[in-house]
Parts: sequence; C-alpha cells; structure tokens
Amino acid sequence: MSEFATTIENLAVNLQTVIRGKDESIRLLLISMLAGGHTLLEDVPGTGKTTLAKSLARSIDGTFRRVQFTPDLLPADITGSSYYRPQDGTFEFRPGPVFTNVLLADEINRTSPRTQSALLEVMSENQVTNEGLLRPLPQPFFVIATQNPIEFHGTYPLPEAQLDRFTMRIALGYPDALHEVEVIFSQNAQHPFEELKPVVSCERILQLQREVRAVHCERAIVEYIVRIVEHTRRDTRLKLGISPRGSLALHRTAQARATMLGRDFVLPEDVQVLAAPVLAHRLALDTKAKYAGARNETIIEEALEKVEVPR
Amino acid sequence: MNTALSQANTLPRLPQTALPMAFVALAALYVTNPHWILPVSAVLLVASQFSATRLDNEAPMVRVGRYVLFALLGFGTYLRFTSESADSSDANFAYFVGQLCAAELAIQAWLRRPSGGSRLPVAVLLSTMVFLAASNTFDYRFIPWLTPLFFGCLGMALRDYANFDGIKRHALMSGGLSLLLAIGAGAGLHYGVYSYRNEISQWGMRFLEGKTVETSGLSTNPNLGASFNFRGSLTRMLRAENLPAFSYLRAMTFADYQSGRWLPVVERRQMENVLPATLRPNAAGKRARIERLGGDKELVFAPLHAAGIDIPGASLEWQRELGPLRVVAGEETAPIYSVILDGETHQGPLCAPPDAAWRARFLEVSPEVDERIRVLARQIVGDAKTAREKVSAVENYLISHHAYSLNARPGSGDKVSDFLLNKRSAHCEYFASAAVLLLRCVGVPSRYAIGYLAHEAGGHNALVVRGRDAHAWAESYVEGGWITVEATPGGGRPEGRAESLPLGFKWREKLTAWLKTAREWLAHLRTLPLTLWLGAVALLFAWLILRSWRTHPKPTFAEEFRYATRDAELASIGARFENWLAKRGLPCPPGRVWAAHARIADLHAAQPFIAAYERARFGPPTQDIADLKRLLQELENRPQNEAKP
Repeated sequence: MSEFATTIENLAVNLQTVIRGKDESIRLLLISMLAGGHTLLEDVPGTGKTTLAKSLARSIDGTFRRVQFTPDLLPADITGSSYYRPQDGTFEFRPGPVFTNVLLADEINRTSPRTQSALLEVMSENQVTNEGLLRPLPQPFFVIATQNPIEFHGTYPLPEAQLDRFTMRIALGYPDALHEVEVIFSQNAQHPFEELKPVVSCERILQLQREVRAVHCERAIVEYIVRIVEHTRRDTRLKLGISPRGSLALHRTAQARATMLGRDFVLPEDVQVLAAPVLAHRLALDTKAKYAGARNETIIEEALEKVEVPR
Repeated sequence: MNTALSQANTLPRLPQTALPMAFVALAALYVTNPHWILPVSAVLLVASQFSATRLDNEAPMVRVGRYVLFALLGFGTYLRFTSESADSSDANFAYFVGQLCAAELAIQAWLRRPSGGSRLPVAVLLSTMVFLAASNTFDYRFIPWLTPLFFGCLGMALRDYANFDGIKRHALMSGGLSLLLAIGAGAGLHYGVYSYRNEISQWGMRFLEGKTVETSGLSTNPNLGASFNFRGSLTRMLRAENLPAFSYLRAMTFADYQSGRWLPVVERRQMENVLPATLRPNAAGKRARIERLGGDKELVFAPLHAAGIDIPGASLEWQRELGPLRVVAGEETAPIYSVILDGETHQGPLCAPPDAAWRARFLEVSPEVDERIRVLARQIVGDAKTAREKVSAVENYLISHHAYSLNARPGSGDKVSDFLLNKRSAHCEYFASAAVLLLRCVGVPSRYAIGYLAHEAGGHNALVVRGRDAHAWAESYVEGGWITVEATPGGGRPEGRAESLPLGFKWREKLTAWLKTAREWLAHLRTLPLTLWLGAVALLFAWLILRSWRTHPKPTFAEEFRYATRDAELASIGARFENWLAKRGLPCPPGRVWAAHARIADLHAAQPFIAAYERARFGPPTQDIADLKRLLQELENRPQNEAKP
C-alpha cells in the first residue's frame, strides 16, 4: 500500500470510530477534501452530519472554526471587519471565522441569502476582500456545510451559485440496525469524539492534494466527462445543466478517488461512481419535470446510461 | 352546489364547440340549397341542449321517424331531379346527401348514448359530411369564407375533445391530422379530376382512337337540341390582342331554318377563292392581332366591323354571303393574322348587302313554324316603326321573358315555336333562332350567326377565347348594314352560371406558352451557341454539386465530438473482447464499464483481463501489451459453458 493510501486509510479509520457504518460517505468526504473542494452534508436531523464534520476537523492538525448559521447572521460576521482603535485613531481588521483550515458551516440554509453570498468569494477563490485589500485564507481551506433538506420553515434554499461551489453533496442516511446498536453502545460512557486525535497535518493534506493533481487522466476520460456534462445541458427537463466548474470538480475528484484506491490513473468507473455526488446538486430542474417526479440523481443516472463509455 | 346547477351539469349536452361547427355546416348547405330540413335540424340541435329527454336508438318512434324523414327527403330529391328547372344531377345528389346528414345530426343529438361516451365524434363526422356536400355543389360563392370558419370550429371542437375524458391528445391530434389530410387529398383529387375532365376524356379518346379530338365548341351544323356545348371545354381556341372587351367573333352565318336545323350545312356551300386584296389587308385602322391556338384552324374569325383582314401568305376561300371565310384545306399558314378595325364605318367580309334573292331568303319563315309566332312577333314589336326599334323590342322581349339554361327541354312540335310559346328556358341557339324568326315575321331580314363571344381577359389588352365561349346570335340587315342581335340573357353567361377556371389553370397555360417559346428559340439556335449554353448550364450544375459537397450538414454532438482514437492494437483487442462477450449472449450496454458488467453478469473469469486492459488503455503510456494478449487468449480458449463459474 502506498504512503498516500496509508494516510487516507488512517484518516478513514479515525473517522469510523465516531461515525459507524458510513464508510462510503466518509470516503466521499475524504475524496472531496483531497480534491481541494468543499462539501455539503445534507440529510435529515440526527444522522451525524455535524459529528462527521467535527470529527474530520479534529482529525486534521489544523485550525477549526464553526459558524452556526442563524437567521440574524451578517456577512461581516463571517468574513470579518475593521474596528476603530481609539488609542491610535486607526482601523484594525479583525478576521472572521473563515480564516481557518476547516470551516464548519452548520445549518447553512438557516441564514439569509445575503449572508450566504459572503461565502461565494471565500469558497471559490479562498480569499476575503475587505476595504480593497485581498486577504488570502490559510491553506488548506475546507468548508463543510450541513443542511436539512426536509425542513422548510425558517430556511432559505441555497442559491444555485452557492450550490455550484460545493464540490460534492453527500447524504449520510440512517445507519443500518447493527451499526445503530454499536453507536448506542459506543456512546454509553463517553462520546468517542472526545477521544479523537489528529492523525494528519495540514502540510500533509496540501501534499496529498498536489499528488492528486499528478494522477494520469487519459484524454478519453476527460472527453467522457464533457459528454456527460453536455448531455445534461441538452436535457429539456433542466433549467440549468452542469457548469464547467462541475466538470472540473468531476475530473479532480475522479483523480482523488483513483489515488485513494491506489491507482495512478483514472478509470471511467471513477467518473461513474462520482457523477451523482459531484453533479446532481448542480442541476436546476424545470418546474414541469419537478412535478412530474424527476429527481436530480435520476437524471444523472440516465445520462450515465445514455452516454457511451470510452473503452 | 345547488340542485339546479347539478341538474344542468348532468344534461346530456353536446360539447359547446360542436354546435357552432354544426351551424356553419348547415348554413353552408343552406346558402346553396334552402331546404326546410336544414333550419329544422338547427332548431332540434339547439333544443336538445336544453332537454334531458333522450330516446333509444332502437325505439320504434326513432326508427319510424328516421325512415319517414329519409323517405321525404328522397322523394323531394326525386321531384327535383325530374322537374323542369333542374340543376345538374351531381349537385342534386350532393344536396340529398347533405340533407340526410343534417337530419341524422339532429336525430343523433336526441339519442341516448349507450356507453355514456362523448357525442362529439358523431357530430364532427356528420357536420363534416354536411359541409362537404355544401362544398360539392357548384355554387362556390360562399365557400371561400365559410371554409375557414368551419375548420376553425372543427379545430376548436377537436381541441375540446382532446381535453375530454383523459383521451390521449397526441393520438387524437395525429388522428385528426390524418383525417384532415385524407379529406384534403380526397377533395383535391376530386377537384383535379373534375377540373380536367375534358382533358382526361380527350386523353382517353386519343388512347382509344389514336387521334386528337378537338372540341371547338362551335356547332357548325346547328341543330336545336337539349344541350349546347355542355360544360364547354376550357381549351384555348384564340388569343386576340387589341380587340374591344366584348367582341362577337363571327365564323359563319346560316340563312334557312328547317325542322329545328339551320342550313345550308357548311359542306354543301359553294366555296370560291378569295384574292387577298379583296380582304383589304392594307386598310387603315387599328390592327387587332389574333392567334389561332386550337379548334378548326382553317376558319378565320373576325368581328362584324372588320375593315380588313391580313393573313400573310394564305390562299383563302369563302362563300361570299354566308361564310365561312377559311384557309384552303390542306394548306399551312402562320397561326397569326390581323384584323383591321375602323370604327363602324366599314363592314368586313361576309357582310355583303343582300340582293333580292338573298333578301327573300333572309325573310322566309318556314311553314312549320306555328302561326301564333307571327301574332306574337307583332305583339312584341308593337308600334315600333324602324327596323332598329323592332330589333331592340325583340331583344328586350326575349331577354326579359325567357330564362337561360344550358339544358333545354324541348316539347313537341317545332322547337322554336315550342320555346317561344311555352316560355321555356334554353340556351343561346334557341334565343338566336327565335330572334331570327321573330324579326323575319316583322319584315327585318335576319340570319343566324355562330362564332365566339370573346370576353375573358388574358393578359395586357388581350382576350382569350376558349371552347366554352362558343355562341350563337342573330344578325339583321338594318339601314344598309348588318348588325348583331343579342337576344340571349347575359350573352349566355348569366351571373353565377359561369364557372371560374380551375386552380392553376392559367399558370399551366402560361407555362405551356413559355415552353413553346423556348422550343421555338431552341429550334433557331445554331450548334455553337447551343453548345455554349449547354456548357454553361453544365458548369453551373457542377458548381452547385461541388458547393453542396463542400458544405455538408452540421454534425450532431456525438458525431462531432468523438472519443480520441485509441491505439490500433488496443482497439482490436477491445473488439475481440466485445466479440467474446457477444458470443456468450452478454453484450455490454454502451453506458456500462466492463468491470461493472463482468460483476453484474457473473463473468469473474474476465476480471483479470479487464483490469489489464484498463491499465493499458487509461494508464500512463506503456509499450507492453503482451500480457494483455495472453489473458485474452486464455479467455477465448475457455469453453463457453466454463466462462460462467
């Protein structure tokens, strides 16, 4: 097993001590992180979204900040703002919570679009512009947001521009019965989260991200990605197909998955496995299609069935 | 919801859109055939909307009522078939079908639907039948604005139906479209066959008898019969430029009336040669150019006041007093001649002043003509003194007392006497004969003339004469000259009786003329210019073909954006593997990767090969594929049944 795979395996094992029976979701989360992207954890309450995010943050030896997205939150509460210093009559910039390695944006859809828009620049360009000054964020920078898709009252659906900036949307789902029993026993004395230790440094993460970029990706695979994306753009049921940001994300995550599985090249299978988590949340369904019962994931699955695989 | 409203909703109504459609159809038929059944049907239709009473189809009342109604309609049609002032029989048949459908429409509205389904299809069908019957009659005046109205209503009704009862809209729309197409095609076919019936019959004649049958429409041997030039042919006979808009082009005249015939027949006339100078070809005046296109090409047609006739290079003959003037049989002449018009000062050929013998012939009334005609003639003329007054009195009398009809129904005895005394409707031959005989009775020398009445505009300052423009009229010798006596109502073309030309007919004629010109032009071409022209056309075609070859159609995304080609050897290995899969009846769908397919199809033996292939195909470039080949060979060597563990 390569050094890379070992590191990832350690991380995964570390997370599995807290989140039981969600191996698949954990690996997707790690792929997203290795691809340098942000992740949206979306599921019903109580499935461990926040716990998973916190566990990942704790497993990395870096800074971690958490913002609870409440309806009264303001953009400056996130990015930071300048304060007047009466003693020498100057303004001083006080960085907001985004100046961190891992940012947990909890219940992101509970704040207004105005505040959510503060995250747009942060997430796509890893920087904050304040009073004409560019302030780069520390590296690596990784946003994990959670939201509850069921609840409707007091929430604001994420704007398309914001959704597009998440590399992946991962649904956790309920654990199966066996794992749920384990979860209950494991938390009997103490939450396993409390015993979690960092297993990987920030420098190591950055190095892994560089390694991901070096993975070989045949031209046919890139063409396959473009074909899938083009297929969604021509789908009449969609108001909005996949953006080039989406195809870039699919490419990068496919590389990350290949590396994680110990391969030094990308296979069409990587693209197929990642297509739904990476692409589905970027689609905007036509109202007619929505009421006809079409789902984003189904549309991606159909596209995969229709688009010819390179062989 | 109150009970009255729910009651109203349960009324077995026709869909609201079906009513206007039915009304338009009934109105369309009514304007040509004002039969009592049509308003009765409309009233019954409306009444059915306000009543919840419905009858059973099998009920004796419905059965008997329907048969009685149909019998009434049939009897009425039979009466009209046999009546005096009958329209053509096809029109009567169309009316009858329309009436039957209208009656059935009203009956259907009052019937109980056994299945409780929509009544709309029946209503649509019957209304369309009524409308078709209306458009099949020969009165086209209202059809152009009723047709769009009807089809608008039909479309609305079908739309309504599509939203009804969850019927599949697509199926209905495509069904409706094919129905409309079928109706259109049928109507078009009917229209085409009907419009070109003369041509079709001519083709048939040519095919059967091996010769061209030209129907000039002129009856050169006038014999008063039941029909004159019935639905005359549309073949063009003459084309005349510079003629006045209503010109009587004379062919010949007749002097003697005998048992319904006009004599002498052309074949018995003593023809004498005419010197071209006699026809004054160089006379001063406006020159009208006449081109002979069909019919009797040797006959020369000219108006009464033709001061001169210029037929270059023809030797002519005529019978001086009566005509015809014609080209000597067997001679070829140019089809174009000129007629010189000089006001009314000169009279042309066939207008010689009658000498005593001729005068007596032009005044003779044969004894078979009823004596009462002389009395009638004197009554008509009254106290008119001059010949001209007598002529207009006779013209006015005939036009105002007799109706025009292409189908004469002669009674017994002398035909003209029967026509005059029984006030029958007939065609121009009767009117002309009657005018001649009446005028002779009051001492005005008169004769019977045949020819064409040129009236149809055919381009700038030109008239077109067709076979159906053949006409007969009278001529009287008044104040030292012959005058035209027109005693037929509307010149034989009463309003609404003249059929319009079939669609595209004029265009076809134009095309024929153009082709003729082109043929003549080609005949005059010498070899060199012809070669040049053909070469130019060939070059143009070559250029067009080259251009279309270069600008091929825009490729689709899948065609335009192909996967980068893989190594030829890899491609052949891939093809072999796919072949291997196909042989086992497990071809891989295009959207599935081989590894996943092998898992799904339990082809575990293939996994090592697939892994090796994927590495060679998608991995970093390597030169070594020997291992891959070996794995494939092993796979291919396995017996078929062993492949599936």
